[in-house]
Amino acid sequence: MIRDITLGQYFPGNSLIHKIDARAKIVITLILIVAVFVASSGISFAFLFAVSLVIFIMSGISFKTLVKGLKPIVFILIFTTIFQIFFTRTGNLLFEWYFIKIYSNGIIFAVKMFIRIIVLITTTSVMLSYTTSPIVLTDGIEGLMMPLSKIGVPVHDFALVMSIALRFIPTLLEETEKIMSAQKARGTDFSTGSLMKRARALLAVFVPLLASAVRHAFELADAMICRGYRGGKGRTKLNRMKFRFSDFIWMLLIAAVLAGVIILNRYTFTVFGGTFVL
Amino acid sequence: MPIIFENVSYVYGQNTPFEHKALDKINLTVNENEITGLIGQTGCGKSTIAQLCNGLYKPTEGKVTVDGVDINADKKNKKENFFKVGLVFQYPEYQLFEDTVEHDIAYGPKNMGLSEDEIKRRVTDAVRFVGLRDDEMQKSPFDISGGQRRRAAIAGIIAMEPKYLILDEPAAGLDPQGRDDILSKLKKYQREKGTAVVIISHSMEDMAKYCDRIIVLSQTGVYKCGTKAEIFEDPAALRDMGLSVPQITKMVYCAKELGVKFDRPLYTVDAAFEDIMKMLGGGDGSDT
Repeated sequence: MIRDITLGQYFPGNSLIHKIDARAKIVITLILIVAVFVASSGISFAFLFAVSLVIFIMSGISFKTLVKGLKPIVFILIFTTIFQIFFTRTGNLLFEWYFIKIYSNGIIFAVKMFIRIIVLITTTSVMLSYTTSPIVLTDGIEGLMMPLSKIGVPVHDFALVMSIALRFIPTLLEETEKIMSAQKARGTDFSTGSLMKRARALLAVFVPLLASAVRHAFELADAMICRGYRGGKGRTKLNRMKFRFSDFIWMLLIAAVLAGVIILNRYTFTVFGGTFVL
Repeated sequence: MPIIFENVSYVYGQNTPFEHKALDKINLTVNENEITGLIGQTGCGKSTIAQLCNGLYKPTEGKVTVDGVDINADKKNKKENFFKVGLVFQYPEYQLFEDTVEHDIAYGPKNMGLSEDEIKRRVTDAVRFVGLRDDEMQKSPFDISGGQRRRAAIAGIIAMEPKYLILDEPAAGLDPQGRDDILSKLKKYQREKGTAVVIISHSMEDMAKYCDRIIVLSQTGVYKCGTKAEIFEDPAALRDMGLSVPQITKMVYCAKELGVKFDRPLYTVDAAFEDIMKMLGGGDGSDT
């Protein structure tokens, strides 16, 4: 069923990670992403992996949830790993069978790529989607982009558009499901027939869905005007975000992680008599 | 042959954290050639039952048979079931999509693969039943009023000439006049065509006025199934379920306590009016 697709899978909680200010979280995530792509030596990868493990454990998110979150990228993960193993042609030749040649660097690149993707997904999902509610996240983005409003960028409106979009995803999914059922009951066949036939079948869903989206938009706009909405100017927030001392510490720590990765990149090891350079 | 539910359970989102049991081993029968009312509080599974009847939902447990055939036994029959058991969803006007009302009503019959002439006949027939005007037929479904759109949507299902017609809250959100109009037209349709009609509703008044047989659902399953007399004999039990007997029946019960005797149980205002006029010695009341 369509409803099974979860978007913004926020898990309410009270962990140290949950408590970090959303703006700090976004900055932290950006720094970590940079660190993941800067890392090159084996030891810096190990270090990053350890850091993301610590973040994950601190968040109190269950391992099962994390694995479930990784499921959609399994294909990419396997594809890139295999690609690296079979198509890298540098380092020492380890194995040869007809046209298949596996080199030592291929294995190293594959492992590094694997860790890179895992760390990337883990940190971003733990830091942002699992521990930050979508509403707080948009608030955070708004807060970070606020300086841009000085040069005329309508930051508040962007943030509003974003949070409304997030808010309506589940509503529209539910509506899609309802309309699809209703059209199925009228004999619409979504899964068989020629391309033209199926496109025509989808039209029976999209037209009512679009109409309902427009209807929702007008209703919401009316409701907002009735409650005195008049744009971002002079508007105060119910829940003001507070940047606390601990948030600074977090950002410093993560900046230190990036520095650590850069330094650790210099150290490489050779193992198995120079077969592998980590 | 009727629609029969045998020990049917339905669970939403099975094996997810949002698992929710909507129906638990229920048994019920929808008879042919009468109007069955399905009533119950919000969240008791009325709409779920509607979608189990035509095979949109597959029961987690148990069996749904239509005309003696298990509708979930053979996947090939799926479409056939949709045509045999017509289902009008809640607020069906939001599913209209064709360029004109006429085309939208013809959409279902067209999916059945009927000939042009047959489609035309069915559309004309369905339109006559729900009462849409000729000039509205060529308009976009987005340009006619809400009540008319509701009619168009119902006509879209009627035009498929299903053997069973299930309507989920067909009168929800309409004004009293539109409400009576649609429901009495459905009754007329049922009497003329002999279709089995199921009306899902919240209103005991509507049930009493239009249904031949009523199925009352509680949060735990089917509470009672029977004629109006059987359903309304115990107002206290209905009240415990958050439902009530029609206002006029309530009044008759009160009158009984005060010593006024009525010859028969009363469920509709019209019947009560007749009886009261008779009691007052004023004939059948038609002259007032």
